[in-house]
Amino acid sequence: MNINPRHFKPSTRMAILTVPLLASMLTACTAGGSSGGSAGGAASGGSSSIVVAFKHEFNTMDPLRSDYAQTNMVDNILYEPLIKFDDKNNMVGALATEFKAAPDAKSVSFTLRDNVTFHDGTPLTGKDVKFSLDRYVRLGQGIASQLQGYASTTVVDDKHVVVNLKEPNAFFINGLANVYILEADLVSKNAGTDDAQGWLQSHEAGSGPYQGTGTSSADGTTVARYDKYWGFDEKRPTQMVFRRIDESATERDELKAGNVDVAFGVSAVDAAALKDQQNIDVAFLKTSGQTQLFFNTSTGATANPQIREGLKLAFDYAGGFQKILNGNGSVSSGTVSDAFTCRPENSAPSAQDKDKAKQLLAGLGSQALELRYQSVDSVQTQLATLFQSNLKDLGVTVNLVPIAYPDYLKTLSSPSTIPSMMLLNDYILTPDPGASLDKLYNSKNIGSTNKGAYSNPKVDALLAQARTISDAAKRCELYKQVETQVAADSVSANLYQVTFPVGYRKDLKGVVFDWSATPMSFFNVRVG
Amino acid sequence: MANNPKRQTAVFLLRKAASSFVTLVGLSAFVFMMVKLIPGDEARVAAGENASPEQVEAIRHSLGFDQPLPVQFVAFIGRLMHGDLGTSITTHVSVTQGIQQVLPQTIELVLLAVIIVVTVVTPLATVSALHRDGRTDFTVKLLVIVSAGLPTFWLALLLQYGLGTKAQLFPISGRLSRSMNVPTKTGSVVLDSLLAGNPLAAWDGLQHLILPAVVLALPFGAQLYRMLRAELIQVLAREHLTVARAKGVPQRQLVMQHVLPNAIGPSITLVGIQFGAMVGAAVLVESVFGLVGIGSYLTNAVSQKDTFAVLGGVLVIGTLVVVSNFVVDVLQLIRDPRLRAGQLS
Repeated sequence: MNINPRHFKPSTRMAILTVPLLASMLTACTAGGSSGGSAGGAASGGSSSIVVAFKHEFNTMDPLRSDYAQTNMVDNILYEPLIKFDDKNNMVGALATEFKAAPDAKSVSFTLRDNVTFHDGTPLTGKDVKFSLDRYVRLGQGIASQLQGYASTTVVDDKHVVVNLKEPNAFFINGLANVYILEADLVSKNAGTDDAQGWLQSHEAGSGPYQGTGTSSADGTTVARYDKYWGFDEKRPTQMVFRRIDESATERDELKAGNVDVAFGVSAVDAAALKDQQNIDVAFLKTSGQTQLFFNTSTGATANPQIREGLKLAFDYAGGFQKILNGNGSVSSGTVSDAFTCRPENSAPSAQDKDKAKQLLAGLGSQALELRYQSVDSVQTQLATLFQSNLKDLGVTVNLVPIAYPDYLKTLSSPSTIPSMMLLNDYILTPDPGASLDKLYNSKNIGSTNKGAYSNPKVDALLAQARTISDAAKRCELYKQVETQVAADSVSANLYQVTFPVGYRKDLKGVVFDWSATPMSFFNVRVG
Repeated sequence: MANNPKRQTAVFLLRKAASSFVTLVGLSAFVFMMVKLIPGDEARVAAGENASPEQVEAIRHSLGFDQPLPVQFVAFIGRLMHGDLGTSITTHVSVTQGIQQVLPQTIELVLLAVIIVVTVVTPLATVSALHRDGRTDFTVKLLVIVSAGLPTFWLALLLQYGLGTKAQLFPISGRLSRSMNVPTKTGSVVLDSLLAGNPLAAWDGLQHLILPAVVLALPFGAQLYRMLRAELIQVLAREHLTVARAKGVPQRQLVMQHVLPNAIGPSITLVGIQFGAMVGAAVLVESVFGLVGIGSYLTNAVSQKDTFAVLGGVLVIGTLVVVSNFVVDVLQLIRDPRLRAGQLS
């Protein structure tokens, strides 16, 4: 038996119906009342506090992990290295005013800047340099990879240190551009049982133009301008708020609404949608990175240089550039990207040659190839599909296999596990490509960082020679020979220079590529 | 002695606690094996892409990944007994600390979603049941089916664009407006604002939570609506209600005192289950609305094969599910004397 709803008094029925209605209205009204706040839509032009939207996990501010882009984005303005590179690819002093590699390339001496203080007012001394380098090497992770071959630091006096190496290594000093100096006493005091890794997750001990505010969390952090910075510039924003926003569309909308001032997690499509916005500029920053298709040069079908050459010639570089990258960036023209000055002159951009490719790939027969790519990157997915299609036109079957980061690292452990083809964005962090060329192409690094299991005694000899030469210009000539040989051996197909779309408030200056952080360094950002 | 209610209650609670413990250990073992099956080398992830083989091996040894799997698992359980969830290979800090940073954000989002589900669905289901097969019932049912059928991710983007970007009724994303700043104490922005004596910031934080909570609540609300409506219809069909009405019991009293109390039993159980499920489902909503919670922590951990972070995250969610089920069981016992007699005897 049912109860007839008409038996309820009208007031009861109304009350029952009104509850959800009221709940919805209340939420709308309360939120609407704050329209001057985050959803206000008013662009915050001229504000000296800027909000930066970024993608992916922000774990820690410990400069040990500044090999991780999100950590480096913040550490880059909290800390400083001894040296850095300017926009003309020249090495210049940061915390050091003078630096000199010994003629035997077994040590590097530094003179420290005089008027540098850490954020608690403690002056920088040689002790801090020694402490920082020793700590990285002791922990043996992250940025410690830039210190391979480090033996010790000799503190000559408060303002002079000598970094000693285990063997001649002219590449070493370049890596120091990515290694930040910590305040020894402060970190030691908070060392705990994990060498201060826990403490440095949300605290800092740097001397950079910004200092931490103790508000670090998983969704970002806030830093405030340090007005006693030795290179103080009042045009730097007074505060920077780093906010994690993973969705490109959300970043775009927040930028349009004026709640975010710099967005560098936007997709190319969303960046294009921002171009017509008043008060917003969009830049496609060309980085030092290159999208490359690495071949397994040691095992399987791609061990044959002719097959590799055929594969290189099969890819529709121009089509991908126009249709997938929307013409942003550039088609690669060598083993290293256009950002480098040390590269062979007159290198031609990569180009498709179907007829020659078909001829060279005839030797493959019906053998299918495997192409691994990182499917989290939609551009990579499209490029992989384009290549599969290009090769299908030539009668070659390619199986596309998405790969996760831990698996990618594992495949590098042996030539037998390296896939026949792997699509990657590969970054070289310093304008002197020596250390990176060595990691990628020296046969002694097969099983770790040599991504194509490539071995050529001539290249090994050139790199070994370069390692012992402290004159950068002479090293550069050797690098060019390495790059030419690697290209001739078709170790990889070099597709495009990696570009990052960045949307930003129009009155901000300094949104440019910088070697110290990818895709940009907030060290350079100024208001007005 | 055998009929001592206090003793019976204690035994019941102990039995529940023991079964919860076994569930969590079993869950840990299962997840541990699953993570180990993910292809990849966690020592290389920890050491960094450019680490030398020597550095990788040193890390492998220091993290204990060079030990056989059963030894690794026993060591994990041993540390767990001391409240140590291990160290994340990507953050290099304690998993407990990492989870403490993100969990409060998810909890406050889920709690708000549960409140929305319960306060909105209960009256809707009641009206639907009272107007069974009528126009109101049809309209509400249609709305529920549509909202349940929409993919959460898409719905989140749609509502964010429509109500946030265009209509500016809600903040687009994040936890607080750019003008607001409160010190982090608990990790819950609303609570932290109140603790800091800043009710404006608490209000602002609440506004930022409403839209994501509504999106999260919709599919779960649809489940609850269907169950509660069916139960209400069953209860409404009972003859003792006709007698009550014949005796002149007012209709409002009839619903509030006789219909709803008899119909909400299964719904309480469902809400308890939904609480745990919402914690896991929050990741998509959090991603769209720029919130970082336990879901994104787990997603990152899985993608990096971060064994201890995955185990920690799953254990925390598992514990939340176990606790919410436990609370539901206790509530049911308090609410229903028949159940109490059955369980405690």
